[in-house]
Amino acid sequence: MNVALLLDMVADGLGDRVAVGSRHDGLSYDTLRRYAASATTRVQENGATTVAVVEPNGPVVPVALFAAAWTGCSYAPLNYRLPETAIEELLARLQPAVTASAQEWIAPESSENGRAEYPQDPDRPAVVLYTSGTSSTPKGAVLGHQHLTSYVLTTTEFASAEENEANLLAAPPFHVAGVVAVLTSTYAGRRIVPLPRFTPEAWIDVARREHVTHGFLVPTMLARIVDVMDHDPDARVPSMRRITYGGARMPRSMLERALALFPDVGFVNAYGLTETSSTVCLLGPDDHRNAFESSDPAIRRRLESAGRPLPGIEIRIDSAGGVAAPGQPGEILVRGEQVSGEYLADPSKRNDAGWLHTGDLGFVDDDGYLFVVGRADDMIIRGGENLSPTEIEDVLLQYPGVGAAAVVGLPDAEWGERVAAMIVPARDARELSMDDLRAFARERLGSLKTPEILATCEELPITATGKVLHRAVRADLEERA
Amino acid sequence: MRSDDEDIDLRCGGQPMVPLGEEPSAGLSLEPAFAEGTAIGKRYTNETGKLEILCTKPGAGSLSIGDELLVLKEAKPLPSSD
Repeated sequence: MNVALLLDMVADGLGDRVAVGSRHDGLSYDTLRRYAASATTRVQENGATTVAVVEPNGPVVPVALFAAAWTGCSYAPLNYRLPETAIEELLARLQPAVTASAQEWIAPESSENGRAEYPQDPDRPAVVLYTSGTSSTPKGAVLGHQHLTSYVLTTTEFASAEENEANLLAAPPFHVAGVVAVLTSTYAGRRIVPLPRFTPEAWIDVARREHVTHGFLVPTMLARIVDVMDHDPDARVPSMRRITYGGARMPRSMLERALALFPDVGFVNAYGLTETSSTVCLLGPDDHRNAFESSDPAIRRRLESAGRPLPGIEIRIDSAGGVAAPGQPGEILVRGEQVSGEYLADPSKRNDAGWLHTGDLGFVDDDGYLFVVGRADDMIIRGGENLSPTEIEDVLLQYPGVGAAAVVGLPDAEWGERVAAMIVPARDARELSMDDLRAFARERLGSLKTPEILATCEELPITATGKVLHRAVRADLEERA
Repeated sequence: MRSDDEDIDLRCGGQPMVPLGEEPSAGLSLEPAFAEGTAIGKRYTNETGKLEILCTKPGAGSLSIGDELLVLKEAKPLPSSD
């Protein structure tokens, strides 16, 4: 099933409703379909097999995505903030390609009615997404039409959004969350409000002006919004109903602040990978509020959980001895129709039984809740013990005046690795004593896990999709140690 | 969307459905017993629940497998995650 059918159905059913943009002058679903159909001519004239977008969020994003699907081409959103040479290199790997233009594709000359035919089951992947490049060369992960439609139809009911719902699209187009949000919002009939460049102030302003009800954020974005709200009691978004976060680990202390600042908002934690067409597990609004209001530590801990698998998704934890029992940590494996695990010019990473190794470590509790502990690559091995950087980061973040923290392992002749932490002081923090912070950590973590090295910086290095670059932190700390 | 059998006698309005791109036979008419209609975006299932069909174009005919009418499948909404 072609993802173009999702738009086709909504344009048939809710043609006049605003699909993208402002309540007053946004594009309707019918117009979006006409623009997408009209853009197919440009794609076909070029003989392209890929439609690239090198733009921030805007109406051109859904137009390009659906125009690609209409012609059976792949849609490839690239990171527009990369240096020009890097963009050219990525484009060279996608030839023959056509690049969508915000100016030309949103002002089509032809009067297409959007009823043109499209291939039902295109051979080419629907989407190519270059992974964020925490490794050296970005890999082009591919998602097929069947993967994406499986995700959309599992999670979304057709035209289920009320007319006043709006989704503030803050994830960049080249993030898998930015891709699937276009598809699920369209299928639900929920207006998309594109946010071209994220700043916490812009997010709050646009959300207020456009009466936004839904939004997806990576944890670093939510942290910055919370920071602004903490300092400005007028910075509130009364229309907001649902905030979803994912793409990196959310520190519990940050989530608790957000829950307090948005008392009427339902929070959703979405765990997934680019390779799994985004979300495979989610922790819903009720789980959040029950955990937040509970005094039982086991229930309260669910705030750190990624929740339970979507229907049709299986999760398995593999440890050295085989499949891990509940509570036992190991690597997270995932299987289901939306799981691709395929790359450009590379065979699928799924094994013969359909399981994809995620490279994430975690465990499942007795009630089936998944807890993601961190990336296998980031684990610190000290004296034969596996130490989780996230556990240590969470404790450091509880100390007043700590705004952000990244924990890594540095080589140690005696113990294999030693624990080092990079601290970003909070905006209004007074003098932050590293000795006091170390004592605070030792009291809660014991000496084995307490950072030996503590340094501060103004900002953590993060990827364009909001993940902390532990490699860069390690290099910086190594230089300073 | 889902079927436990490749070869099913899927009908709409009492008449056999054809693959996309093929023309249905001429002179067919809507059978009164299969005229409740089918709604866009709704899912339909049979008694065993193993079959699931998504309606992408609405119409006056009802879906059936042979003479067994399919029934509307109630949506179980998930919290939107995007």
